[in-house]
Amino acid sequence: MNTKNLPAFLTFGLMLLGLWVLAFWIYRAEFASVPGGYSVDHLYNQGNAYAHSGKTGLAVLNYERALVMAPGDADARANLHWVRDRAGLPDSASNIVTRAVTSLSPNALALAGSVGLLLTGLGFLLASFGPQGRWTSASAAVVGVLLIGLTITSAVLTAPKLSEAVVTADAAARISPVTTGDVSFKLREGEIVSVEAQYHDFALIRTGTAQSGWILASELSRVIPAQETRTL
Amino acid sequence: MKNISPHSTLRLAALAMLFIAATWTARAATTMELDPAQISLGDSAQLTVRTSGNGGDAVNPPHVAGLEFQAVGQSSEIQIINGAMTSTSSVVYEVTAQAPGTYTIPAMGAGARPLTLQVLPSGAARSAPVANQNGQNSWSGPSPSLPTPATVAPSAGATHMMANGNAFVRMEVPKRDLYVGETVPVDIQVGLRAGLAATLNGLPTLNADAFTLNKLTTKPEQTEEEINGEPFTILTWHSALAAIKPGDFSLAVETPVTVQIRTRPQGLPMDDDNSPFNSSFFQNFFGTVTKKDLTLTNDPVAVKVQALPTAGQPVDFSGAVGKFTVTSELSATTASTGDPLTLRLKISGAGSFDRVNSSILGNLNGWKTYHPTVKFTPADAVGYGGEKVFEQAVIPMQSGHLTLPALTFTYFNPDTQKYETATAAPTSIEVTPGSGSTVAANSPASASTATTPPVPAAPATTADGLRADRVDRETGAATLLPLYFQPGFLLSQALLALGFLASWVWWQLRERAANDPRLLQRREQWQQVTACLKQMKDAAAQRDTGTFFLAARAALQHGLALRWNLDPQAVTETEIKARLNGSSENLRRVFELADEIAYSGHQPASADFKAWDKTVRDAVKDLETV
Repeated sequence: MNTKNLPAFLTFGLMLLGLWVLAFWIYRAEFASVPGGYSVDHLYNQGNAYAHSGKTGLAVLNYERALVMAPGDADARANLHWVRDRAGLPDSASNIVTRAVTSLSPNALALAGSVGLLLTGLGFLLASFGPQGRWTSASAAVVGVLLIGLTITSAVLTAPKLSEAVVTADAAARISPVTTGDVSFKLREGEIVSVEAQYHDFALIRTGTAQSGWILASELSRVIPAQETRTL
Repeated sequence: MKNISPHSTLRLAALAMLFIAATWTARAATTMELDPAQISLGDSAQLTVRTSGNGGDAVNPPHVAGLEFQAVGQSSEIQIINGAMTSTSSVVYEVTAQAPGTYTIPAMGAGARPLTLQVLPSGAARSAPVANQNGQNSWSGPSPSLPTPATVAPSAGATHMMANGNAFVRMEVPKRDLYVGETVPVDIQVGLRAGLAATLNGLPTLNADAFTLNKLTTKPEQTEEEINGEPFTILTWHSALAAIKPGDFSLAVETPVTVQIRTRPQGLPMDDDNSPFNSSFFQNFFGTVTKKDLTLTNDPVAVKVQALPTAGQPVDFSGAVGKFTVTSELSATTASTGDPLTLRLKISGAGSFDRVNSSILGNLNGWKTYHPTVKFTPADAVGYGGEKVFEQAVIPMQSGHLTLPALTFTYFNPDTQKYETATAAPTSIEVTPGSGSTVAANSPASASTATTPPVPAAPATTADGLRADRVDRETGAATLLPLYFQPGFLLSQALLALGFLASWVWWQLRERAANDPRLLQRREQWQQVTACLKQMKDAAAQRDTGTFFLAARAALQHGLALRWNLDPQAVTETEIKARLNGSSENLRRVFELADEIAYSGHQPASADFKAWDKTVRDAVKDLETV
């Protein structure tokens, strides 16, 4: 084998590997499904059902989950606003950049980041071949870096969702993780809090107004389930 | 200054002590005054206790069961007439009764006589002002004869006047015989006489736990009404009353109010209506204003609540009591398989709509059904009458003439005292085969034909403000965690990035090495060494001693030049001796033999090629580390 062609073979091989990885994750994200799995429409319909039956907390939870999968879903957003408005809960405030970035599907952005990585890698490798096609390589690398940057921004802005939970029933936040602890403030059904730690049956939560307290974990539901929580 | 003799001083002191002793030992006299001596329940009387002499400060309110005394004022005065000093103190109490009856207020000091307070039931007519025990006329505030409101509902309890005829509460119940679960509209009215300073301390509440009352608004309807010539402000709450358990009950509502009661100034004449002191201005200015918390109640309304008959109760009875009608409709009369349709069930009428429930359609062969949504549109302010609409998304899974079964709703009609079932007409639809897209169905028969999920119908906003349901798949993603937080995805991307990075670094190093003159030279020298070693090997095979040693010397020259960073021609026997300091006899010997062959042409007859080859290769092998 002529070692002179090794870089070209290597580049081609990496490109194939990158495309295969991309195809695998596209399939996993968009096409692979399991019975009873999460789908935007199903979560949306469940939110509607809970909203009709007056279960604000569960309605908010399902709409929030639908919006995690499809942040641009106008129906879920409208119904979430309707439910929160009826319960006297304000919509969470966010700036225009956050809204713009988080209005795109996290999975789509993750795949875009994967494409960006492929473009960047190929761009840098192809640029090493010589001056021919340098502009093409540079353009690919720039586009790739931009896509990676967009994905990282989305991940950073979405990261708080990992610790978010919805209060599924009116709850009392206590100053200590025991049922006899003094109540420091009350939480309304449908409020969204951030879970910071867990201690036995209690969760240490923080509200949007920076109030902290312990409430029973059974009165909460994670927006994104099965997240590990720091255990004290 | 004139001198005062000791005798004069003693006389003055004795006089003063006598004066003080006489004053101190004067007998204290107490009088009590009750105004008025007859009141209605909920009103108050004023008890004034005057104590002349000493010890008046020690007057405490009496303890009379059923009466409440509240001190509202206190005064004292000292008079000196012809050297005689009298002090008088007065304490004024507000007296209220907890129940009708005649109460005796015991004497509260020497010389006082017990007083009698007559408390009449609320609403009872009071007699003219009566004299109290001291023979003085008592004054009573404005006391119109108890009025009867002009619009007393025939089935309601009588209007129950309180607070001196200034306020009342009444409740209009349209019927007295109810069934458990039955809802009837009720009106609750609180009347306050115009000009009365009163504050509502809460909304009217029921006194019975066998009923529930729809939530009352904090802004009741306000009207004016004249009752027995007196203007009243009427606050009206419209609500719905629901019976929740059987039995005979006395139904009443209670409304907490605070009224300001103005009492007449003390000592004013009562018998002269033309007196300026009897003017409202004078009384308002000089009278005492006290706040009094009252609870207005109406005369209880007897209501009988019967249990629903268990005999003949349908299985699908959901507890609705009233009169209802049912209609149903499908959003289209023709459709293709897979088209989402909306089935509407409308239940109209009057009664306990909160019990009106329907699952509409469950699993139905040939159809895919979804959970229904519900919307109630009240026809009145209290939600007694109205229309409840159930909407259900249904999808035909097979073509042909399909008929949805008749929808029914069962309720109890209190008028006929029977369970009745309202039935909507069956709905038919012509379903044509879909254009290649069918729906993932629950039924196994159609599941085999399912290929792709249906295109969701355009969501419309339902009547209650929520956007409508969609057609959803039975499957979905295994996790909600976005890809960029999934460890597998991150690992694959990290490995890919590492591959690109490693390749790029390798490439850069390779390019750098390819363009470095020093490295190029060293590589060239090494290639020379390799070539010489090959030549040695070939020469040994041909037993060509001369070529062998010439190649060996060249290999050593290139190799040692590479190590010592010299030109290969500069590597001589002398240089080797100097640098290797006598530890390289074999290498020097190679150079000697090579020189001998080169300069004399003499070739050794035989040589231990293997040993010399090893010597050279060992020397060169050390160079590889260089």
